[in-house]
Amino acid sequence: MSPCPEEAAMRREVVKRIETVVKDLWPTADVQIFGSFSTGLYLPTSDIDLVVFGKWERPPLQLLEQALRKHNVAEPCSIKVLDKATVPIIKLTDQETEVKVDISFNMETGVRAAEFIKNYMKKYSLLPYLILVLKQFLLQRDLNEVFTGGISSYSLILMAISFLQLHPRIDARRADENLGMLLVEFFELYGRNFNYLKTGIRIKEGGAYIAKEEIMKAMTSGYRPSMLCIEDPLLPGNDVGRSSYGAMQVKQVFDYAYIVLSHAVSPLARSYPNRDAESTLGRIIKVTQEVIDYRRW
Amino acid sequence: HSCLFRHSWDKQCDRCHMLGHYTDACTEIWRQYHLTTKPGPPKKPKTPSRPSALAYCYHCAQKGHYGHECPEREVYDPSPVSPFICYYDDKYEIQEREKRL
Ligand SMILES: [Zn+2]
Ligand SMILES: [Zn+2]
Repeated sequence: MSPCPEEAAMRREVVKRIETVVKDLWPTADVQIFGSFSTGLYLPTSDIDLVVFGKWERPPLQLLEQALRKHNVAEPCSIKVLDKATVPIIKLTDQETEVKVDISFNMETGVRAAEFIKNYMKKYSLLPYLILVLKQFLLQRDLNEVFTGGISSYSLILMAISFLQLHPRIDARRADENLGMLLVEFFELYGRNFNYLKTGIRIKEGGAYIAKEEIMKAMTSGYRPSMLCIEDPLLPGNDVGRSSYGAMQVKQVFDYAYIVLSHAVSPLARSYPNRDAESTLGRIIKVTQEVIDYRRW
Repeated sequence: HSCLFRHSWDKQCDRCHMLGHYTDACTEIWRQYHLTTKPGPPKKPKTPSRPSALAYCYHCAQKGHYGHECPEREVYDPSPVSPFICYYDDKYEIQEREKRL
């Protein structure tokens, strides 16, 4: 499942409506898209991430909130101002399309991360498909957000990049590889083989595995590497997996998916139930009727 | 029940010669389709698949060997299998395996 043109157009409309309100308030402000809508790696249910750049001492959360209410951009009860969060944001649901939007202020990192990911998508042409399937897989299991006990989508994307960077077979990075098989190998790596206790992931300079102790030396003292330890390619000293408390649950569902898929694609599959009822991928991915209806609409 | 099944480290595969699994359970049976996107027997690459110059171990995090070759693994671990393909089956061999199973 990848985004269709109507979905992209609909989302651009949402962005335009918000941009108009922002420019009304601050004509020199700059609105930028980052996150999944910017990389194209979004599901029908994904949020839109926006960042507003301008000259303020503190993020003008309340000002923008009031303006958004006045212009009826959002469902009135959906607007929430999270000013105590590490990154203060405004959350809202667009009135017309029900798409959720997060707005932050003067945060460079998201925009830079989106650029970084887009560069890797050019390099590995199967990467976007791999990520979209994995995102849907985790979404169905409520493991696609750190606060529901899963991993962040930035972590997931970096795991997929590292998987391709360090794949022992050179042709794994070819554009004509069988995507389904790459997916099974991804689950094999992060569900069974990867040693989460000892090994950390480095993306920069072509990629590497690196002992967590080594990563620890590069961090501020007293910091203990997280279970899923991924060095941030854009912010040395930051561990992207730091907040992914659900990493071990994610490992478990990856292992489960590996078992199901590797059986489904082997000749033993004939003895497996429901063989004719669904596709191989259908054994681990289900798109609910709700989402299908929403896409048609 | 351990007497019913032989321990996994007694098993050896005739395909990839690694310990820990029998031939009919070898992951190469599905991995050999890595370049195949149409129905039919697996597509062979024109030149054999080369190992990547970057060898890092997912198990011990050291440089210089791949995870499936790691010397630090414990004997009782189910041995990980090679990501390389030694052999691509032809139509006849696939039929034979299907009969066996
Ligand atoms: Zn084998
Ligand atoms: Zn090793």
